[in-house]
Amino acid sequence: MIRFLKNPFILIKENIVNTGRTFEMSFKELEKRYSGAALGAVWAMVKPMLFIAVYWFAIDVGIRGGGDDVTGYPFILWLISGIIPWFFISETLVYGGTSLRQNKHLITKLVYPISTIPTFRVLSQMYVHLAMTIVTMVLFIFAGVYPTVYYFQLIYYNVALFIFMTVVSWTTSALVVVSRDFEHLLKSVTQMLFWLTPILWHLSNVKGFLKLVIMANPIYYFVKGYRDTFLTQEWFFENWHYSLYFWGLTIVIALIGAFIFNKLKNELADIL
Amino acid sequence: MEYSVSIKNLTKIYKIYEKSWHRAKHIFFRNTKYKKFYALKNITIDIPKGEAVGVLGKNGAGKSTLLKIITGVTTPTSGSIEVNGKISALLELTSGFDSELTGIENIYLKALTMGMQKKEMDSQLQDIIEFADIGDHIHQPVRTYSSGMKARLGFAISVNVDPDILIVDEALSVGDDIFKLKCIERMEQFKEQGKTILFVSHSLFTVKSFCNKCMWIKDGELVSYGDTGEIMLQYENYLKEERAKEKKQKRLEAKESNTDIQIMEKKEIVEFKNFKFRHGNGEENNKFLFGEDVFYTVEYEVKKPMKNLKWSFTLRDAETTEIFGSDKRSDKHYIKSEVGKHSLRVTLKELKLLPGKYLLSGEVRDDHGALHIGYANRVPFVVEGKDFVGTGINYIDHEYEN
Repeated sequence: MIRFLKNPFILIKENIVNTGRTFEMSFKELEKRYSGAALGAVWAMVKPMLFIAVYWFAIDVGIRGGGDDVTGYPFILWLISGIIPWFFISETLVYGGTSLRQNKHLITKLVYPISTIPTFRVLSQMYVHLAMTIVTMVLFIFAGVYPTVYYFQLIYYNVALFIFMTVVSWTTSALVVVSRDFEHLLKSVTQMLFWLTPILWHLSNVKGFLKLVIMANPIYYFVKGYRDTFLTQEWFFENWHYSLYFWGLTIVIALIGAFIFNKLKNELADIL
Repeated sequence: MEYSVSIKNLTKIYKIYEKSWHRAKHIFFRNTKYKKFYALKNITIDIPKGEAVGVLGKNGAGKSTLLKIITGVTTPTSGSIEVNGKISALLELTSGFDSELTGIENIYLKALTMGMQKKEMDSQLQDIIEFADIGDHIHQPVRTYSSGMKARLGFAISVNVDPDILIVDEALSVGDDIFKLKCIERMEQFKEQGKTILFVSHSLFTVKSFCNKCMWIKDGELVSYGDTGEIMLQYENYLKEERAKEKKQKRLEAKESNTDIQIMEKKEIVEFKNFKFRHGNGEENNKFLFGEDVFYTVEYEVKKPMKNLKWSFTLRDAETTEIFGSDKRSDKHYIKSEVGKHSLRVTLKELKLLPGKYLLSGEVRDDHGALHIGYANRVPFVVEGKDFVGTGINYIDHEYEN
């Protein structure tokens, strides 16, 4: 039992020792990801914006026929504020999951602290997300929504995003190495999560027990958090019970993930 | 004595699962079935500082696994390993390049992964680029490199990071001779500086001339370790024996396929039956006397309308060397092609083959040679002789005038 509880600390320790390296690798990763395309890093921005435009058109114009704002805010602003964390999460789920498989040379040919590989992958995605967040802020100013003191809690949510995604990657990255099946599964699940999370639709549309099930999805914690920051103006500690639930869940995921990761760590070089 | 690598009772087991995801199942369910593959079995060896050790063994013997464990890339299942000094390894050519990054970027990546400071690498950069000598390709992504270029860059980095132990696994096999020489020269320098080198190469000549010690691994076990001359002799003998065994096996297989008479034909078109050797009186017999006429008969049934079928045959000696093949184009060799049963009798007149065993095979073709129906593959017959008339295969009439 104690060994089980120790697992995450083994990984965390390895990460802390190698912090410098992890940062450098995250920059390299970013460079690599966007160096091949002519527009380079611009793609990281363009793609989500295209998606936002399409969703806005399909939902607001197509389905709702430009009806009243259910939320009290223009639909487009409500959509953007919720979908920004989703873009990061969905990209990072896959990107973190494939982190070990795609950095096979580090594992099979070099002596590299393996547990930092998911970390630098998630970190490199963070930069894109930060840029996206800043673009969103500027966009909101143009739309007449000016920054408030609540924007400061984005620091909290970004730290939470980073920790949560890194911890999730422990499980996914190790399993994806074991079998490609898990990679396909991960991609499918990510697709489904988009529709199961109240991003395009409002949580108030579901009631009772179903609402609790939907809220149990930790991704909604961020969707809600970003909307609270940009629109609703609510601090994360005002929702302390939901925050508590989120961190509890994160710890459980970390324990399971670290257990799986440590079990497989020594075999990774042999299977890749 | 100071050891650079000290290995005790080292065993490496690869777990082989029926399905790949069973490995994940195994984390939670202890009773998951798997097979054990012993890549290395109970290896104990001490390598003193300053030795150049050649690692010998056939493919799959466990050489690479051992080197990977020494490098630290993979961990032993049981046993212990102690390494003293900084290792630089060139494992299976690529040495851990990121194929999307350029050569230069990969040099820094390597520095990063080895825990070196960027400044340290800056001072080495020029040496590495010069040694690799791959021109402007150094600024291109590694995925565009040829295997030779990868080996050059890999070797250049490995030797320029100032290691205490250098591991070179098959890296020289793809480079050209000039580069190989350059590498050997550099490795000689290392040797003089008292550094330890572990070297795998399939060129026994290189190992012999470069290494002062050798270890021989066979099926995951350390067979012997000692001075190059002695171990090399053992290993070469072993290789010779293995090759002889292989040859023998091949010969056995070839014999088997020769002895049974195969009838290859396209039965739905033409079917052959009763291929027989006969004597002049019609008696069935495949033994003939030297100088006798040899007859053979074959019955065949044409099942689909055909035009212009031709029969041809080939005579071979016991070692399957062709002695005579009948003309496949001659108009004289047409046989009856209408649908129905036919029989064919061929006479080989006054056979001058010297006593011994011979093989005859026949085949049917249509006019264009498009349809090719092999028939009896190498049916044996024997020529016997009362008197000795000469040596070889065929008797040649000769006269002396004196």
